[in-house]
Amino acid sequence: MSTAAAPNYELIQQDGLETNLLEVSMGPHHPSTHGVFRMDVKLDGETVVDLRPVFGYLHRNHEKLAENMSYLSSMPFTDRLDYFNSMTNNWAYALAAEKLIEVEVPERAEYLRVIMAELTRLVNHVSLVGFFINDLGALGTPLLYAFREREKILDLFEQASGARMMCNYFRFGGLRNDVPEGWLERAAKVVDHFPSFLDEYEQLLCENEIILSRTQGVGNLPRELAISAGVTGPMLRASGVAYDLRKVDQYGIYDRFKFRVPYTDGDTGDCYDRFMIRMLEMRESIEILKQALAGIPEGEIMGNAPRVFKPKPAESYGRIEGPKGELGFYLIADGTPKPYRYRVRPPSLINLTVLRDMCLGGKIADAVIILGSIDIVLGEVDR
Amino acid sequence: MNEVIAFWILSAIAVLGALVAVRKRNLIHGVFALLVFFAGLSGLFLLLLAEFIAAVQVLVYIGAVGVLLLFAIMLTERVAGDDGRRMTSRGWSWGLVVAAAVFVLLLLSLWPVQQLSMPKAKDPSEFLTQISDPGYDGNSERKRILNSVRTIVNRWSN
Amino acid sequence: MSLELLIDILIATVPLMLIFATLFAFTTWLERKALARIQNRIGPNKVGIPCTRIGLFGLGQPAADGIKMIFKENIVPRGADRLFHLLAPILALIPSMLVLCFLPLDFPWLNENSVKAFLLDGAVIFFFAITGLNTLAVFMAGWASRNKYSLLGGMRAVAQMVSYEIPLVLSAVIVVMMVGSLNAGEIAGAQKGGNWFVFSPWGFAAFVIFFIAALAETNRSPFDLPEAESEIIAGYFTEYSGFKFALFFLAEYIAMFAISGLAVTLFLGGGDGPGLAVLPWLSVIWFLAKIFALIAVMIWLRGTLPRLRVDQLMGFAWKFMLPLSILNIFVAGFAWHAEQLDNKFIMVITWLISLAVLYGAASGLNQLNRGKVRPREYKYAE
Repeated sequence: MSTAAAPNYELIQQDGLETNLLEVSMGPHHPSTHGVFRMDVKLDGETVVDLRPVFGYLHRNHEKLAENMSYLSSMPFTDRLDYFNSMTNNWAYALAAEKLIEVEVPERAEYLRVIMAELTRLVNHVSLVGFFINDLGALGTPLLYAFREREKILDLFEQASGARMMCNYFRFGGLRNDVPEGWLERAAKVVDHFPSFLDEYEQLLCENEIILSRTQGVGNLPRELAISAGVTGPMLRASGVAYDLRKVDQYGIYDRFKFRVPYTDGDTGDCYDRFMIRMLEMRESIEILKQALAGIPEGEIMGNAPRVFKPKPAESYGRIEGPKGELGFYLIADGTPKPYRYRVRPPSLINLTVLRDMCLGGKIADAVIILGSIDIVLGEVDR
Repeated sequence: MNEVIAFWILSAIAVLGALVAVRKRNLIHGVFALLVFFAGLSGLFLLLLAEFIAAVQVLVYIGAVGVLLLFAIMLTERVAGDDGRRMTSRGWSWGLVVAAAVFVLLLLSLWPVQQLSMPKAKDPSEFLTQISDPGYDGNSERKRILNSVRTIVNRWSN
Repeated sequence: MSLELLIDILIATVPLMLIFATLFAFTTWLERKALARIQNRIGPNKVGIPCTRIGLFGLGQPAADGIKMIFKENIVPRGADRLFHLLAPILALIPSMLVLCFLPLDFPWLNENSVKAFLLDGAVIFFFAITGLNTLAVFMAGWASRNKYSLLGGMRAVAQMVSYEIPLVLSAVIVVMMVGSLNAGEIAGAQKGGNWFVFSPWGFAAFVIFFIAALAETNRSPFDLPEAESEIIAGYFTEYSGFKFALFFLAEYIAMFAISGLAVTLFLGGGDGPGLAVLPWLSVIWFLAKIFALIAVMIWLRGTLPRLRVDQLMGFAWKFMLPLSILNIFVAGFAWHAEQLDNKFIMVITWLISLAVLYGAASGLNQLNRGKVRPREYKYAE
């Protein structure tokens, strides 16, 4: 089990014996790189001696495109960043733009935003856990259990916004449209059912001997490294830092809800912690959802924001606690209808930067699950 | 008759395997040829009704020794042996002399045994059933084989 | 070669191949269907009778798959060793098929005079010798593909198969000791009338070890490291397509049948079962039913368990299975001597002692190897 990182790895070299490392280029077409990602791995037997992440295969010029169109036109493109969590992407962008034009968001829209964001968190975490166990080799069974629950939430998204994944639901100053009749009841039903699924899932997975021995002590991320690398989200909390923007910024109306932020004491910070933190976070999201669904008022869902506007020259940074970490949008307005500068702070990319440090000294199978436990979406890494 | 055919086929396989094993420059091919030789040898043992030795031949030589060789060779860089080095050592002529001498000696010692070789089954089908029949008394066969071994040893010691 | 001999040989071997090839097709369907049910899916349900809409629960799927496989393009990577690339799947299939002949299947059309060429006295040892050849095929495929994933898969496979062969053989030794014969027919005969080896502490322990090692030998989950999809694509057959891939697939399933068949012979009483006195040919049915029971467990495990890591896999073989199976041999030796005394009371004592020893050894080894792995508690920030 000793997978303590061995950065200063020395190859055994003897006179007359030439020893080489096996260089494997994992990806861009590989079943478990979660998209077109590549890891150039140097192996000594099965042990990872060096690892170089290579990305950019999915670069779509997102930021430059956004600088050449009006503020609102970029909203659908933010869906495609982290295509699992289009709702939260929308929200982060909306927050940044709302700071520029200073528009009030109606009460009902704020509630719906929280509901959508927390449902998104459930979708993201549940699929992440499924994919993670799939990377461990469990042939899709936990993944398909997870997808069964995910489908229910995606149905809700479809009823509200018309699309399952590319929702494009948020607008500056509110939401595109109100949820249809009966939607809140259906959502409440889904949310009420979710804990029983989590119970089953936890019972099946969290104490499975193979999962324990595969994930514990693998991919340790020390607290100092996590902080200095700018890691955020569940990964940071698994490394022992209780930092959650929902508590720190209290953006939206998160100050009205009672919920807790799970974190570790920072001794381990391994794949198991990252897996468990997400399991626990889902429970907290359910708490928020229950409160929000109970307290949602009737009323408008759209503030009086113009469709096309010319904000005064200023800059703004809107950030939220996305399911993967801190998702931020940085905008510089120059008085034209287009942003002068548009920049995304993608949690996937920044969390990915510590991949090498976590993988060194482990086995090749560890590298795969460490990558899985980081939770990346290549759409967001490459943009 | 069947056994004779089988003997010749198996011998041919074994000899060819051995030759290829020596001649091939590609190490992996060479090892596999060596394994073919082992397999042929195991077949010959089976023909001598020494089924246990045949099984052990497969188990140990093909299963263990072969895999060990392959495992070592697989992890070396230059498998093909195409680096232009001479595959023979300088003392090859002496080696040839020694090998020829041993061969001649073996040939001489085998000469009188030929009359004793090959169990003669009356009916071909009987031969195959013999092997499987638990009641079959292999003692006579064993004696015959032992005798041939003894003859060789006697020949040597004289 | 006389014609009668040839016919006899064909009667002895051809049905064996046909039966198991058919069972292979059925098993692929069964596995897909069972996995689908485990995973909340329906599984194959469309392919049935051609040109109609009759689905037959997708029973036509294996045939359709087979046709697809045959007509797919045969791709050999540039720089690969073409000869070995071709030979590897064939070499994988031959030993698997060959060892089927060692199973004591009493087909009704085989009378006493039929050729039973393969019911050798040393059947069990031959079985292990020949299944060992599978390692070579896997190695050949891994090396000949000239692909790093294949090479890694081949390395894993060879290391794994060689390691797990030891507990596999050592647990079979117990039965051989008890019966005093390596003949598969005699071993099955010794368990007639419900007197199966699995119904004794040492036999049960040996059966469990044997089954786990068999999973590893046939590269089944949770020991499917050589073809670990999430890590090394498909391992040693990454570069195989079309019919060659189908051959690998077939070889894998036939090997599953063979090793389950051996487990049935050694521990589960061979063809023993109720109703044999009336209908002797039922023994074949019982035998196959037991094989399928074991295969069902394999499928179930595949749908349930994640995969081990390579060092854990090796550790499990050498630090847990091997000591336990060696201890089990001693236990079985004492039990055999106790059996010779023919005393009920002594037998009961032997059972209790061996149960205690085996259980204690298993849990002790478990404690030793387990490390610090345990579920954890988490904190919450308000």
